[in-house]
Amino acid sequence: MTTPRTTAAGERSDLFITPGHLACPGCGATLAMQWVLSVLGKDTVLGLPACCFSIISGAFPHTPMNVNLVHTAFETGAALATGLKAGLEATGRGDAHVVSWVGDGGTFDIGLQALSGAAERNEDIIYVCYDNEAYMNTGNQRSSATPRFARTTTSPTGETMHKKDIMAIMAAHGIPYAAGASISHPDDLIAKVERAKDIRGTRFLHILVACPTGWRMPSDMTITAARLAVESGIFPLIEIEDGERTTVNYLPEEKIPVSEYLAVQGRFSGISEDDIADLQRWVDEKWERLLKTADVAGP
Amino acid sequence: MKQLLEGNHAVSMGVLRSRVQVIPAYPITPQTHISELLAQFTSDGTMDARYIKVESEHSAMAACIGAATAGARTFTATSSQGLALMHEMLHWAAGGRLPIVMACVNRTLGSPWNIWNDQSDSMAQRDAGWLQFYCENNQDCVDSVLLAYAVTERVYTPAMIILDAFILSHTTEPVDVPDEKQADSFLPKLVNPHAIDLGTPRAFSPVVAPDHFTEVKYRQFDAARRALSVIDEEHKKFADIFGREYQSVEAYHTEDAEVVIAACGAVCGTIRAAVDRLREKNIPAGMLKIRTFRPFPVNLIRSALSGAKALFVLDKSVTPGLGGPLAQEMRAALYDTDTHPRIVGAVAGLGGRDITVDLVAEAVEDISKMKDIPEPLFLGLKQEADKS
Amino acid sequence: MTTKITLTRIDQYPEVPSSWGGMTWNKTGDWRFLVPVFSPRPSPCSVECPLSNNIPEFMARLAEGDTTGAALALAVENPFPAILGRVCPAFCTGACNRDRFDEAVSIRAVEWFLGDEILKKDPDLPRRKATGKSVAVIGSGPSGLSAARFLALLGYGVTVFEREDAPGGVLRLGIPAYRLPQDVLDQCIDAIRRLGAEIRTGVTIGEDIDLDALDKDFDAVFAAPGAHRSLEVDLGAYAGTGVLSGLSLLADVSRGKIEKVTGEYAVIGGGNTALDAARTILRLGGKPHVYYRRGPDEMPAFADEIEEAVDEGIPISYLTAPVGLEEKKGRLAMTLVKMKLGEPDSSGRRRPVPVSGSERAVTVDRVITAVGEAEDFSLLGDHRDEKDPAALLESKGALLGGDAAGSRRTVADAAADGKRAAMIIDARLSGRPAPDEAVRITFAHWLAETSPPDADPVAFEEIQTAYFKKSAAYRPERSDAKNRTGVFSEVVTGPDESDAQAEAARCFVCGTCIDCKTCERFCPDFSLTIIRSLKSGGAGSEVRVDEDYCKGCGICARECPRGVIVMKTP
Repeated sequence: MTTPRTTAAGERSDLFITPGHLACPGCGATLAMQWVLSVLGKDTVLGLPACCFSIISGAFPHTPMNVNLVHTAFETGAALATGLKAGLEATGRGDAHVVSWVGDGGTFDIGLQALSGAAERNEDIIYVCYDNEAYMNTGNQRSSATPRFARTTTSPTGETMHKKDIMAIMAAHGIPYAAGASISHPDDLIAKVERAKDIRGTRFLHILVACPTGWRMPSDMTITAARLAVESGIFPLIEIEDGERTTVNYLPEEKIPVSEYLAVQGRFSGISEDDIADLQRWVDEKWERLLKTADVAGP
Repeated sequence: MKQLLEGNHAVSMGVLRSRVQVIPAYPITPQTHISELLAQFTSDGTMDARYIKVESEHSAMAACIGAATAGARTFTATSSQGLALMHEMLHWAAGGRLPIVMACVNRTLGSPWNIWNDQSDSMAQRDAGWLQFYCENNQDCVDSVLLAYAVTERVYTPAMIILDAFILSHTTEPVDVPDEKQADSFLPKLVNPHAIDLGTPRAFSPVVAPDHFTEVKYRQFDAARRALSVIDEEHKKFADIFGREYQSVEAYHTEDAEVVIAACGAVCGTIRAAVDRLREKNIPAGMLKIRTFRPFPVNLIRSALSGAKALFVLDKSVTPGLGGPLAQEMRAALYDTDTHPRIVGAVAGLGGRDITVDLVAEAVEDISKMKDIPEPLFLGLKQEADKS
Repeated sequence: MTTKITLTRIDQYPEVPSSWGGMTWNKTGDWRFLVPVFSPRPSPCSVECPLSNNIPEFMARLAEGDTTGAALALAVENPFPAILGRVCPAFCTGACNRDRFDEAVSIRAVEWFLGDEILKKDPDLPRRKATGKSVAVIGSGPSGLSAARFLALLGYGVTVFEREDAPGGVLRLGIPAYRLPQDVLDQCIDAIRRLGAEIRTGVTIGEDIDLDALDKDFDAVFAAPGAHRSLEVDLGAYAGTGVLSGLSLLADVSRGKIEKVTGEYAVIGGGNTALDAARTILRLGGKPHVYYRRGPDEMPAFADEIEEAVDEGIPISYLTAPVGLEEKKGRLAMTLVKMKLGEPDSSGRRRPVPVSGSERAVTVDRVITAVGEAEDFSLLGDHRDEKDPAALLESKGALLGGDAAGSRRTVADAAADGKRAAMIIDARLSGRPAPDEAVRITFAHWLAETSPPDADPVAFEEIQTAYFKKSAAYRPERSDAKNRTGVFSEVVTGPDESDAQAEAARCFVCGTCIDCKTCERFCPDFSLTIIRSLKSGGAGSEVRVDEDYCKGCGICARECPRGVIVMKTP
């Protein structure tokens, strides 16, 4: 039977990013964007340094975005947001949310200084790092968010360094709220945005966004891959308040072996059994440490 | 009201009178006093503005861009390495058509390290798309801030006011600080129709593909070109309110000058004295002060130099492989005219070396005797011993 | 819908570079090479169910708390779920996809609960108005009762002719009360009567009334005479009265003719009848011992029956068969031999072969034989021994169904036969095309005159199990074996509402969209809309794809928990 048609998608009024956007088929970032904005609402200004979304959000004079969006240079995410917030406050619109929407490159690497500066000053911004674990917009070069053993164009035989612990870095700044979320767990993600929305000061959301293009998976695997990341413990769903109180929001009933997560991604193809075991040990140790230091574990 | 102020503090007073709303700033010698006084004003309530202690100059300009896009009147100050660090974002601010004003306290660029005055930092940014104004004295400094806002908020091109390190920045002079009412009557509250409107979502500074980029750039170029007449209008308005006249190009004894000395900044004070000295020696000299460097006031320069036989251009920076930037621009301005004075490009004052009246006057006298003048002519260079 | 902006003159460009136009004119549907197709499909349980019960729908409704709606969804296809929930072998559970995840859903338990609800609530069923035509049904066993029920719903006047004094056939006479209480059976039959079917008991077709007379007086005839001629066991020359068929025993107990027994009973056979006979004997005071000629793996009785019999302490001797019987001092001496399994016979099961020299004797008081039943064609009168009774009946315009028609000999199969017969008769009498034998047509479709989707049932691999948490299936509690053997009350009882609801929530709802919104939520191009069905549980909702924008990424198909979206080449 033929599928019933609708031409309603272009007419929807609830979308902050409309169809017609330029994301790859299966992109997880557009989901994160819509979910975050659906909580924050239209009185939001996005600050967008160079990243996939610079392209997804269209070329002049068109944009699929239904909120104000200010593009900026790669390393300036948090600095631009700082200025946006100050400017909005100065012009009587201090209640509007300012969201930095930054990729892992602009957060972990080139933009880390600006982020640290803004966090240290406790700027009243919501900084969202949507993390696809490489410089995907420029063709999949590694970032310090790239997991060890993953292949990228600049780590063609597998990345040699483990993923930088950005949550620990943000916790060290003592900001009021930092959280790790995943597009595979939308209720958890949305609850975190809800919580962040009502806090004043620097709020940091680290969202795992699986990328079928860069992770070398078929385009339908986006949600499943992100879910496997969470279920294996390699990407924990956590919250850290004031840099001190850690809550682990989701405890998988049985942590799945990390090999199941690696197996669905072409960027880990050819990884040796020894390296998988290495990675499993690393994940297990980090997970144990997390559970030991967490103040609350489980929903 | 007359106050004794160093140049930096004169700038701060200008910022105060301009009712700036957001000040992201990062310290660097020799601009730091500007920021420190503004930090004082914003913490003790003198000024109703947000001072943001950003963690670098690059972030300072990014924050300025954010604040200006949101429609707030925004200011920052820097020098030398800080200005160079901001370079990427200077282009971004200009292309983004943002009415930001920045004070650049001229300090040379390393390496090697040198904190003293020359124009290499501001000259290196002449292609970034900013309006550039060189101040001659501390009164100029306070007035230029107001003028810069008035102009930038009409043409949506960011503006840099430039003052010499230490010579102006740290030297105290009597300055007539405009009072609030006068300042407000000259410079109204900023209402930027291009700023963020929460009810009308737009994407600012987006990707502009080849099919549209030329037109977008043309708009930017056209605004900078239009700026010259706007600057002129604002100068007149300013004169009407404050009684002080400024011009983009200021001539001193050029009407009958055979040799005109051209320069930017505080050195023009020295050059005025040198002109007087030369005239005492019956050498008909004159001075052309270039106050507005960007947009480069080609027509004004051409009319001011229509009678000169020689043009002695004094640059306080030099581009390796080329020469002094002001000299290059002057040559280019005069090429397509019937006026072709002999042009000497001289370089002096690098890294803060003092430019004295003698140095200038003697150099002007010397060139009339020199056959082969190196291009550029490094004034006061410790020469090799004469081999002859 | 926004339009693409064309800028051809410098004065059309804004002063400041910012974008203001939308992008919904950009039809990214052009990008795709696969398209998601909304594919509601049968669930494997419904396909295995002889009645094609709409299991996903009633599970979805019950899981959402709509007990009434769930009961109605079940009642549409199932003529007596209170009976089938108790006695069906549950072919559905054997096919349940959940079995490969944790444990199969206890579908029959949910059916049991809903069946009792239907008896309590008596919902109004969708039906056609009276056609003015009438149909005769021979036999009030499950097949005849089912045919009568569905014919009544289709608007026909129905008269059921039942030979016995009470209706029900094998339901009353062959299934003991501890498995199917008589009052439950009565209520189910009354419900059918209330639909307008008349049941005339004590009338034997082929004796009291001729088949040809029925043919004349009614517009159609359906014959479901059953299979209750017990097959004989060769016990040598014995000709005494100590041998009784299991069916007769059960029938007499049901009629109230036997209330107590004493002594040792040998029960020959391995099917439900044999075990029912043994367990009945136990309850009546006797000591049963079951002898079956094949092994435990071949025993055809339902697994839970065997378990309960063993719990009750009934000995079962496998690979043992009687070869002779003789009177001995007022009792009976039965000669038994050991069997071993040889080559498979016509039923596909390995043929038991006696082991020579293994004879032994046991002393018993009575022998009950339950080695199978043959069809009864006495309704054909003088033609009762006809080789092809179905053809003869057909020539008289009558349909044959149920155990007599060579079905799988379960209540569910018999009832399904009756339902199908009702549709075939309706087709004949209303001039509609007959239901396609190859297509699994449901009554809901038949009434609505629609066709079910022609598709294979959803396979386990198409279920996205990530959206389900592992859990144990509902298991009913059995009454204590020690306490139950003196009474005929139910050994197990059905689940209560909260247990039934919890079990229904374990159903994957394979192949039916329930508006869980998973696909809608995860579409990166926001191109899916679900049109929610009016039924509670959202069962039967419809996914719509905006093909203008859908890039064919396939996330919807992969994440759909129940395999309702399939990616295809356009």
